[in-house]
Amino acid sequence: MKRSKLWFWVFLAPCLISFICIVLIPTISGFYYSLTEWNGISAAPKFVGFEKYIMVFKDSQYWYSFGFTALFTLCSVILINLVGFSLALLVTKKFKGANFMRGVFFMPNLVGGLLLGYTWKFIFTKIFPATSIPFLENWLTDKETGFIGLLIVMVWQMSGYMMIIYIAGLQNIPDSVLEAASLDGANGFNRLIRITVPMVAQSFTIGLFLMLSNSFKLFDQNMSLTGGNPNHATEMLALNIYNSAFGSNDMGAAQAKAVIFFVAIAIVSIIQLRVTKKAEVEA
Amino acid sequence: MKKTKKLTALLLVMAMVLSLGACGGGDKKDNQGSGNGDAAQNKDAENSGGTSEDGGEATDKVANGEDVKVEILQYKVEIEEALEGAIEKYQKLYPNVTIKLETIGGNDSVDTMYKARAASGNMPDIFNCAGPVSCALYEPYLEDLSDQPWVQYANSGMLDLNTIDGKIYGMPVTTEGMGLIVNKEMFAAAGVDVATLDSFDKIEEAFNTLQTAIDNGDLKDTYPDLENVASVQGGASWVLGNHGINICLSPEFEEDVFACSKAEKVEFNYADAYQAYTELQLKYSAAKDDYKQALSVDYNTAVQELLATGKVACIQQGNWIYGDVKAIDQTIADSLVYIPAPIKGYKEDCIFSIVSNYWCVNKQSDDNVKEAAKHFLNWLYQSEEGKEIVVNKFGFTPVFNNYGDLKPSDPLTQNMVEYFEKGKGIPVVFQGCPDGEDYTMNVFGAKVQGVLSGSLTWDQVFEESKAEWEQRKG
Repeated sequence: MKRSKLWFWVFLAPCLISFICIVLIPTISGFYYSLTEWNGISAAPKFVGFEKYIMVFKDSQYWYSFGFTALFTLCSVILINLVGFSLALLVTKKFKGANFMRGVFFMPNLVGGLLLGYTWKFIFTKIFPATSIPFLENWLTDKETGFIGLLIVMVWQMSGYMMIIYIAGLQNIPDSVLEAASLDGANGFNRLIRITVPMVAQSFTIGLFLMLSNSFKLFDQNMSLTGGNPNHATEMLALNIYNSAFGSNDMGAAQAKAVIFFVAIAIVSIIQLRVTKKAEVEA
Repeated sequence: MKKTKKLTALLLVMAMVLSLGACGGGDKKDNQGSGNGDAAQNKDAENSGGTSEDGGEATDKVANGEDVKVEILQYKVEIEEALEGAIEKYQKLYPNVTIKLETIGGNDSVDTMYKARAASGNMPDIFNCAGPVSCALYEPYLEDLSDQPWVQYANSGMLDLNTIDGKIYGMPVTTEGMGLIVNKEMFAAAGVDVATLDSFDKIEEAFNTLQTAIDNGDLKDTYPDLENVASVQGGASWVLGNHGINICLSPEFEEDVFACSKAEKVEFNYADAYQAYTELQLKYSAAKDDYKQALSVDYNTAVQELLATGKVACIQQGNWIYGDVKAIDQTIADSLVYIPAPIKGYKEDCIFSIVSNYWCVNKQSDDNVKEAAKHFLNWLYQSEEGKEIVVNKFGFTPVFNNYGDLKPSDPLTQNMVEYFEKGKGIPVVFQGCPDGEDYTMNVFGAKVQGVLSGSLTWDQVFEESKAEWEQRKG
């Protein structure tokens, strides 16, 4: 017993230490900075209590970004998981080139966010107008097309990743269950809804969670694709926080925003985990 | 089991969420390192290094011949290669000094990098910082350079921006001009001599003449690609903000950046002038019917894809675009001249003069690093070899009066100097706005974008910017 306890800590130590160093300590010091007035450069932050929080609560741009991000998250979580799951269903069908397709669908995920943003910016602002279709002109120049543009990039990038997770889930479904169902006369659609979906519910839990937090925290693509233009209309939360930290030199307010942001995501994620956990079934 | 699962889930959530906050980082530089040089000797070496104006002889020593590393993080992308060349030359003369150059420019603001570096205690030894607002911000890192040998040679007004309480905190990088840059040949083909344009109305008339000629197809043979007179870079909030805002702020603050930085309030007395100036360009651009289109034009698009390829004849920029245009079309580059950036109801025949930036030395670096940094800057701008590089390789306008016959090499910069010599340069004041660029770009510039996208009116732009100014000063 003693020995195993020692080994327990030995194996846990690297993880635990790095967790403490790069997550726990920054969180705590971050919370402290949210109570200060500090421009990030001068030596001594000045303690101001909850003043920054009050300021943030009055900051209309922050709440606009919050709403924008929430809407974006809702759309992207649904779309990415839908597309990812469909792709997974597609490539687990046995046909020629299925493996090749898996690779192709996964590829966008290997490209870094900034690069992806700039690539798509080129597509939206140079290639779209070149088609001379009125609908495709002036993309990214207003709130709506900016939003859709961000969504397209995100879905394009992350669907392949979700696909991999769902493939793993799908392959875990015993053939016997599906066979039994078809013997009982269940058609393809019924088999999908009543057997396949509940059986991969565990993957849905992970998929929803990952996309939820990823979309909420989206920064690279936002920065490179629209940069928040025009007039902060497409500025998501992370970019908003970045701007107040490095633009207005207000580390305190930025950190206060980040704390609120953190609490919000934590609450949403925990609720989501609870709800989807209940839907999981074991084979 | 269930509990551990929950805990893991929770930790995972935290890890995911917080990975966002992990920026900056970077290795802490060993500041105590080699800072053991004898102070008196250092001073000696500094003087001998500083006063040697030709600096070409390897006889004088920097930092007692000890190995020192100087790190430069600067913003001027255009001079990166030439500066690297200068550094190599310098290192041959002073082999004990190693200079590491890093350049961040274009869309990424070097300021962000400085802030991240400062936060991680890793500020570079030579950096750029200009104006009272930035100087106040970087105050803990600014070395007093008042005793430097180049100070006495500086042209009048060149040191003002970084002179705080009588102390000089930076060496001017160069002086530049911002205004409307036109292709004079295109205007000439439509029968307009751009040298005669000295008022808002004349400029508008000239735009009209050229646009009519384009629309009638008169210029089809000579300039087949020419589509519109002007182009507004609505996608670049620094063009609308940092530079454009001077149209209304310079007159209001009587061309004094310190008046701007001290002002508790802004009135935008010249709001109409800004609107007229911007709409003049919009009216003769591809975005005339739908301002939104201007939002997809950024700096690179305007300079490289529109002006340099002959699709437009006029954009708001400065002499720094010469190199970029020349790389695409030498003939067009050599046809570029300034026309005034007209401020209606104020001066309508002037361009703006900008001391683009300052070289600053990090006060917190080791003594011998500071000494080498100062020595390098002095060598670069004051030795014969350095002057040659600064003028001919960097393409800079001399800001010191001891450059002899060295004159800026490109015609656009020469044209700018002509304006300045006639007293037709208005100093910019945008560096005095609250939080500097953050106000001009992310508040004012962004709101002008709002007009372009149709979500704001001009009145709202100025009203909201006014309120934001007071709030930031409050």
